[in-house]
Amino acid sequence: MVREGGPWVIVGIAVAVALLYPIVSFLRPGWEIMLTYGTVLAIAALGFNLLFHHVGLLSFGHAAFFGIGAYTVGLSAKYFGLKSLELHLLIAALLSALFAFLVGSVAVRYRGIFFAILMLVVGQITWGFYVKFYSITGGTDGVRAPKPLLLLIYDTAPLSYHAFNLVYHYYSLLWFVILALAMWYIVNSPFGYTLRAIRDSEDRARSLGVESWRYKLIALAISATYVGIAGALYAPLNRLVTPDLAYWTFSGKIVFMTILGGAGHFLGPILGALVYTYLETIAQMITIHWFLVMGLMIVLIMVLMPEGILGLTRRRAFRSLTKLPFGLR
Amino acid sequence: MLLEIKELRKSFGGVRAIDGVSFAIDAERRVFLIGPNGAGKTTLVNLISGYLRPDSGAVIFRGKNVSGLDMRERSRLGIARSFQLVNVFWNLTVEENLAMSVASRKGITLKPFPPLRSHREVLEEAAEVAKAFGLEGSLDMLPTELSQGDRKVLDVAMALALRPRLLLLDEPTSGVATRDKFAIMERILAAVESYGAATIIVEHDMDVVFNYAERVLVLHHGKLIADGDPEKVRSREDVRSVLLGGIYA
Repeated sequence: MVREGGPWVIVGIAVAVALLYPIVSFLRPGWEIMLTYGTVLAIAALGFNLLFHHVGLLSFGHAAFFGIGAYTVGLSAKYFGLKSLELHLLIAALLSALFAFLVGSVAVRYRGIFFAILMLVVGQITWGFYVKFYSITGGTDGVRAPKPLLLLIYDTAPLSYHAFNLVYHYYSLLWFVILALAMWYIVNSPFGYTLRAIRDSEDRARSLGVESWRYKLIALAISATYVGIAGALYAPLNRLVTPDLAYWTFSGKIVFMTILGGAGHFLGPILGALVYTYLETIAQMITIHWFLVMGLMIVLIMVLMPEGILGLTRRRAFRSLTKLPFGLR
Repeated sequence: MLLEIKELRKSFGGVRAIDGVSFAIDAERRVFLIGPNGAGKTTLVNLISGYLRPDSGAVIFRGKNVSGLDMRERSRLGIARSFQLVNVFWNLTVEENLAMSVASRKGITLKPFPPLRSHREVLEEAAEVAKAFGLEGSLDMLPTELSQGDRKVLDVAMALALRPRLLLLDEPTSGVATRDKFAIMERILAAVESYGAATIIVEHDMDVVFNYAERVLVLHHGKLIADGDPEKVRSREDVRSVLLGGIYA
């Protein structure tokens, strides 16, 4: 069983992130928005990790789904005048799932490096679409994502960006709680166990009557739906949707966040996304060669804590450091 | 008739692994499949379970030709198998491994809600199977924490938790210390018989075979060279000289 990260822990994290916003805003104005970025990216990382940890499939193309989500908001607002973000989220979820079913019907029949490369190619094709079809997508200039209508009634257009960021933080947190809770139930359900069984031994799972490719396809669709929704939530926050969001380096970011927090832990991707967002900002402040800093960081993480930040909690040295006195646990 | 094998053939390149094998199983419960290394025993198990498809011939299970069905589909019809090398879900506990079999049989593996832990009937049945195999004290353990003998038993228990009509056991005591083989086989056979499944067992240890077999099938170079009562098979000169090396003469 995935024992950590039960419903109350998820709600607790959301409350903590909610309380942190005004604190960070007061201590270091401008840095609070990274909490919102982290929250949105945590949804993407949670979705990615369903496929990565629970099925054992590494995808270097999940930015494709993120791009679908983000462009859904930008393009539907631009061409159809859609304002409701819930409607955008619904369309983004459906399109991401549909696209995942299309590419997955071929891709999930492969494993390991073959699956990873296939997904990378898919991601790059979608990136190429956004870049080349500039008459529709705006090419590298991208497309604007206006302030949306929230909860079908609350128009955020008149708000200043400072006020919008505050409202949007709590709106994103609401979606984070809903989706993280749903993911926790999924990974602990018979379906979640079956995914891990397939990961451990596909032959054995088949011998038990499990049609493995079907489960992997559904897992990919769920994973893509999460990443697509995250992309749609990202768009109004970022105000601009560009092809970078579908580029392979963005897929790499999602992989990085998940490994940073600890892919083997339910909470790992969430922590990883929050920490990554700040790490990247700090690296960008230090040097224009921030990619180099992040690259070095990946190397250090892989060497020093291959199980991610949460993996440290399993180490004896860490446990003795954090041991409470008087036998308290 | 539970199982009919008709003129089954399977080649790998130029090697005829199974070459025109035919036999039928009905009431027998302990059918042992023996033969030297490379005789085609595991290939035959793979053909019956659906892991491999035959080049020609037929596998007829309870009157239905299942030759074109894969392992998953045959499992649904009542053919279950264990593996020569322990093949379990290494990152799931013993209880969860068994629960996967039960959940699959009950058709709930696609359910995204509620948590598996809420399916009390699945966990209770997993615990029952564990008890039948003497694994009740290891429910919370990972397979890596079990002895080799218990891992083999878990492998068989997972197959039996599907409640099959026919159980194929590929060397259930391989890798187990000689002194423990009889104890492991006793545990497996007692549990299997309590569930009433017919069993085809691939086994190398002739002491084990002739102690427990109701019927013995002897494969050699992909051909079935002997089939019948253990004592009669053992007394045959060709079997003794070719397969048993004269030890049981």
